Amino acid sequence: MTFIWTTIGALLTLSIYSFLYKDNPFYKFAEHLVVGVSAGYYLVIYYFNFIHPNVFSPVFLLRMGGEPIGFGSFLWWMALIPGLLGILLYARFFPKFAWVGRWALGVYVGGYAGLGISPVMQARVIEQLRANAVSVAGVEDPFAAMTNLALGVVIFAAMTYLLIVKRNLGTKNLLAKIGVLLVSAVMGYAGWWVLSLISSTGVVSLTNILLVVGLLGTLSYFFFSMKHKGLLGGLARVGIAFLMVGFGASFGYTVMSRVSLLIGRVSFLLHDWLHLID
Amino acid sequence: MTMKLLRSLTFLAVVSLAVCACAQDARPDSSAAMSLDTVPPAPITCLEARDYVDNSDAGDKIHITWSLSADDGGGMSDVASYQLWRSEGAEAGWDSLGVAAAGQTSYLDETAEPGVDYYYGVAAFDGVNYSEQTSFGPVAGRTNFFQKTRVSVLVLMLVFFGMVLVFTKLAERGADLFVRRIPGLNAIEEAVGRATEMGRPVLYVPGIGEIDNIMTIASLTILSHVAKITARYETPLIVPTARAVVMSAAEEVVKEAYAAVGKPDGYNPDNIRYLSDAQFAFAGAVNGIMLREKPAANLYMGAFWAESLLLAETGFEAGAIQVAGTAMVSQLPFFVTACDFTLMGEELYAASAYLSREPKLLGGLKGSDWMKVLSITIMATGVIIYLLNPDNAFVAWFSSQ
Amino acid sequence: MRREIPLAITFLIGIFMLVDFFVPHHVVSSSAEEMKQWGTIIIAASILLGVGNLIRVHFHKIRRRREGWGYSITTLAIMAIMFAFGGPWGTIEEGSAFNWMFLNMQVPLQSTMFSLLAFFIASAAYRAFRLRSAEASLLLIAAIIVMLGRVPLGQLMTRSWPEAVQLPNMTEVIMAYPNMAAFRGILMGAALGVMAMGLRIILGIERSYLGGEK
Repeated sequence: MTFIWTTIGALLTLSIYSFLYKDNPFYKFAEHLVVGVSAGYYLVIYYFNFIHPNVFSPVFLLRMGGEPIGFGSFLWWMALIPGLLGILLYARFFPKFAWVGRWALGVYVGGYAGLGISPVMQARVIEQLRANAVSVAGVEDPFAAMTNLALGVVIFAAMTYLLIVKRNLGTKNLLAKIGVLLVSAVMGYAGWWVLSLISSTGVVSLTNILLVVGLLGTLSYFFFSMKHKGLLGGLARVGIAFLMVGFGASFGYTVMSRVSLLIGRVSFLLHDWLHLID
Repeated sequence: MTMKLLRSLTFLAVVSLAVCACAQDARPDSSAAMSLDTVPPAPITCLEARDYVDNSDAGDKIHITWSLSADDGGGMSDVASYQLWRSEGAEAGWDSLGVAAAGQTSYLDETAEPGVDYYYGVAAFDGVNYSEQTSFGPVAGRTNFFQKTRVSVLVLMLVFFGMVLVFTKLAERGADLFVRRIPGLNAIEEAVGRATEMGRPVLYVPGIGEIDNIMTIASLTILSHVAKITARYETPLIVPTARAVVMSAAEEVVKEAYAAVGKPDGYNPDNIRYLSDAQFAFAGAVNGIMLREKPAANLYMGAFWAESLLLAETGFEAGAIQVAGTAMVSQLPFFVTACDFTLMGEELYAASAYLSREPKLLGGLKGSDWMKVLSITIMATGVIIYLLNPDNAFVAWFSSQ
Repeated sequence: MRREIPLAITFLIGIFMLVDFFVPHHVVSSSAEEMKQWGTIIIAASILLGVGNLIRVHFHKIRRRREGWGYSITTLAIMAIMFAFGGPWGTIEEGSAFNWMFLNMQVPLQSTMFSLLAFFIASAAYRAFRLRSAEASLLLIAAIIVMLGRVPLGQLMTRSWPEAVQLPNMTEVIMAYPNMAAFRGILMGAALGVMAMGLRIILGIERSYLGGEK
């Protein structure tokens, strides 16, 4: 029995991989199958996990969390009201009354909008500012930290200038492009190395400068109410540079985890199904 | 010298006993110490219970402290643990609350009902006998109406809201608020135009976020704009969704957009589709739409997770113009590499304001720009103040949340 | 009225939930918990709308014999079977047919679809190389460094280089600083967008999600 089910799983797995070649009947079948299975699955699971224990059972005076529940009691109302709100959504099936469905939406969207605001201010604004400030100020020597701030501003200005004047490294020739990439990578790292030698004297912390410059630049890019020209334009370009490095880094960071997913499926096929490998 | 030391120690012991003023019966006669199993340990002293205040103080915590029994560490040195009891009245029965190890002088009761008066009792236990029980009470957990550690969050939030509302009012009065061009947005119109020329549909994926996700709501606003363009061009608009509520909201939005440009008959309800709540079942089905119905423009706006690249790569292979927009930091790299244009982070939210050109919405953008300036200023000031004096009150205020 | 009542509900509940963050009082926090519970119930109830839409779309496809209508039968049939096995009269326990179908159809199909990303991430990387701007080059260089820096190969390649430019070290620096700075910037910008939008929703300025005027 288990083998039959594993075989079904394996054939479905192969059907999905066939998509890599091109769209074909096997893929279409697997795709339509999973849509159907998941629709049936969620229909049942949502009922059993949410509606039955929290609405159906208490409202019809069965039980709630193992406790008996009284008609008209507070808990009874607390089960009835969301149940009614859920039913209001079905008013859509009768176009004349569709508008009452908005009440449920109002509760849901309004609730979560309110719920989201303050934690976002706390975790994504204040906490980020604080973390950035702490890493900048966190060096033991106040003089060094001040130097960082000042140097950060200077390097920032220099990069801004360079990026305004030297707009584009791009070229159409593939070899030339590889050349530009290599040269800029080597130059970037040589510069980095020299700076890290300086920083080993303890006066300057390069990494903190990067934090200051990066945050300033990125925030400038997200500045909407002014034209991105002149200084702001330069700042925004620095921001884009940092954004791209960040995107590249997280792209590279994700590659291995995706490959391991593939390894997992291959081992399902070869080990669990065909028993070819241990 | 020795005498002096002895005297002062005795003095200290007497004073501490007096100050505590919670002396129970005298210690058991030390002569009984020989017959171990029948002699209870000395009771604890200085029992106190207080309302415990922490960051998420809901009044359900009471902190109990005491001084060690004389037989814990000293005396007969045989205390194994401390047993705690709780009672809801001086005369009510005692319920077992918990056990603290020998050497411990505190216990946190996290099961108190806020506002109820409790009495606490503690006795030392030597493995066989309990000491005399020491009691304290009444004490009640008070629940606060304001969490003081979050003042900084409240203040910044109010400042931000204030700025948004002021600029909104200014905009309504006719002040001209500039908003910079957002490249991805112009691309949307071009993409729809190209789809029309090719006689192929437009695909709009509003992400797989629930409708409580602000990105989804921003996406619905953009969808309304896109639907108006497709209605005018009479180009089919396919909207696959992963959430039933988003599907029904999208139906409303698209239907209304078609009606707004005077083409209510162009609306095809079969094109607003709920596919699956399951993330990859949804992605697989959208891929199917891309390959079979061959949309010439794919727009991905909203909250995306790992399916982002599955969609964007398939769309690219199918040769569609693709414009994405999301504030999911982890997915931006994939959209940036696989799409022609990407609205990054705040640009997604800004897009809805930009498209509507409604002064009310533009005011919000201006407010959030000023908030950025304020944030940077706060950060720089914070660093400088911190360097001058790390114990500064501003730093503490700002750091406590 | 059809517009005002939902907007008033949104406003009242929104403000209440906003306040919840600052008020540890148990009456407020337990009501907020109750509201969240309501949200999950509303969402759970909505699945019927989704399934209704799914049935309608596929039914139309079958009736009009549109291309691929046979597959639509698959979808509807398997959904009916799933529902028959697990519906209110059925069982969803471990070992039930419902559970078997979930474990051997939905799970492998989903994880296989997920693993397609291994191929897609490779083709996307190739694409990044063809982009022509300076910014894209930055993306590519950072991606290559980090990708190699996280596997043993990268370590072997640069073992004898100075410490600062060994791939694993470069990866660490890139992740911790430029990457961190950029992401902080995005997070903060997006956070402001979320808050402004949240405020507009509560105040009823943003109402696209409620749909038409009628």
